Amino acid sequence: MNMRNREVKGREIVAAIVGGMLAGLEPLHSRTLAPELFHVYLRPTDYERLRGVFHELRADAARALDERLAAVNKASRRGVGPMLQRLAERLRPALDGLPEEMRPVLTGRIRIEGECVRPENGWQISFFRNEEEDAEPGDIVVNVMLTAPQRPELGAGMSTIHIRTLSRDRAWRITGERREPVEAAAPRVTKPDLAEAERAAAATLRDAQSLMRPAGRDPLATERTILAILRARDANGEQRFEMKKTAIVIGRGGTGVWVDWQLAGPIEVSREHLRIRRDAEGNFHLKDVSTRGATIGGIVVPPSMKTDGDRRVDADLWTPLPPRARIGLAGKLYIDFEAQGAAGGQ
Amino acid sequence: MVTTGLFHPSGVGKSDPGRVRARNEDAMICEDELGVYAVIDGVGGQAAGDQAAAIAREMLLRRLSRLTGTISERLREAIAIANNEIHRQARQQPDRRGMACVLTVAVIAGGWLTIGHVGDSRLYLLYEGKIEKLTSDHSPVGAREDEGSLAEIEAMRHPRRNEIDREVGGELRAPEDEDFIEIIEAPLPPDCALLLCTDGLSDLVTREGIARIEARHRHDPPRVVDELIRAANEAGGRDNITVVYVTGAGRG
Repeated sequence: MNMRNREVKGREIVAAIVGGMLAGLEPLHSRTLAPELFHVYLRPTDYERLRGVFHELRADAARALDERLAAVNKASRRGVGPMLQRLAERLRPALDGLPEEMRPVLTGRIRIEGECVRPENGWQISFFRNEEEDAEPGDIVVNVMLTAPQRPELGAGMSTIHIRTLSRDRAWRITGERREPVEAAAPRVTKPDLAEAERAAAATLRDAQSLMRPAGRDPLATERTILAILRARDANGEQRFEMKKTAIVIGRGGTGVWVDWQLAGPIEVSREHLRIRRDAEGNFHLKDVSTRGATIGGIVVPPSMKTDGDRRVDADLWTPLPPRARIGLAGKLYIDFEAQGAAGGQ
Repeated sequence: MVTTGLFHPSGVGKSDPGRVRARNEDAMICEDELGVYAVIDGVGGQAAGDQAAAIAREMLLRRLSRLTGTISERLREAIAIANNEIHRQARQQPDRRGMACVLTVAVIAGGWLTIGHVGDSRLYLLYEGKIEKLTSDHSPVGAREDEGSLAEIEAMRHPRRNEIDREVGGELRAPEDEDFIEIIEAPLPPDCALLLCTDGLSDLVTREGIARIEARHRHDPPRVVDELIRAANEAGGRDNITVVYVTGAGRG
């Protein structure tokens, strides 16, 4: 199937962004807001191939978004119904040259209330590598978000739309998922408070970004200082982890196990293998909670898990971890630990 | 196993659909061996509230049966794991979209109580004839009741009683996230009792009513649970009612 190896074209990305904008329109009482933030996730091969032209792509997409918004406004002024299908018709010129089955099929309804308003700060389009394991050739994922200042009244109910343009099954589909507050819990605390809306927007962003990352990575990571950098070579190759909170859990992970850094280790590495924490003075400590043990610089760390009858209990035994250290997990996998900043003793 | 002077827990729990709802979207945990007790109230509008509660129950048990980390770390991680798993399944399965739950989990070890709590279910401590609510209500109405600007009976009748501002499953979370999990720790006198309940009880029976029933039947814990559920049903039973009652060894 030739679709399996296809590269995504810039034009398809622009179409996906425009589709995302349409699906993300947010009708208020007197006007309709257009989303401002577009996070475009591309498979690593597409990302690398196109990264040199992101600037052009961004400019072209912004132009297409402006045109589309103008068309929507023109259509709504003329009283052309609210059907998204109509908008899809108007989208066609942008898709000229694409095979029929690859044209996004827009389904569902949107209602345009009054003028569609272009975001105050313009269109914010960013490109990211899609590290999802199940990303397939041709996939374009666009996360569309309204930004905080435009909808302060919405609080935690801020909607995110994940437009997933998939190449699978030889047909393009745009599947939109709109996150709404839970029905039973719908009227949350919705103070007209900008800070709260910003928090909600940050949460939405975090949510969207974490979808693209391996499970277990700290979703808040980018907002914090790096306390330490950890590197390892696991079954998937070179891995790097930025420790940005004062306590982390490392292991193979699995159902019912929390890990901040998930390593694809051999079976000897425990699902939850070790914990690292930084104390108030900036010193690091390590706790071995594994079944096969841990080492620091080749020296065995006293295990924290003790047998109590038929149970294994945590004696909360911590071992000092030097600012630079090589940590061994069951003698099978090694982590190079490096504390960052003054507190880490650099 | 029983250590003199320490609260050695023995729990009994029951969940009832109430008189109005066809489905029971509550779940509970009552594991003396682990010292883990929980009430979980599924929300989700359509069909998935019970699924959310079931996922939470499973994830809590999985994490809390491994004794790595401190108790509060375990509780935070368990609730975050449950949260993210509910969120994941809600995202993947259209018929489960929007499902979530609220929950109150108690871990009892070495005479100490550690509570992990999100939402408007409750944990009451009963001792020396008194009743004290240890959890706060993560709801606009409950918060006003907690701060004293709304009387209990007014809160129970408030039309916005059912609104919550925290939930498990609504968005991806990390264990240490602010404004998510409330952790409460308290020493347990050996002669006290704990009562965990979903709002199906506390919205219909006042805390004085709960204390009265508990005092009358404390020699017979299963009866305490039955009578509390009966009282909620007699008051209308408009929601699912789940009650977990935990006593210490030697109480009675």
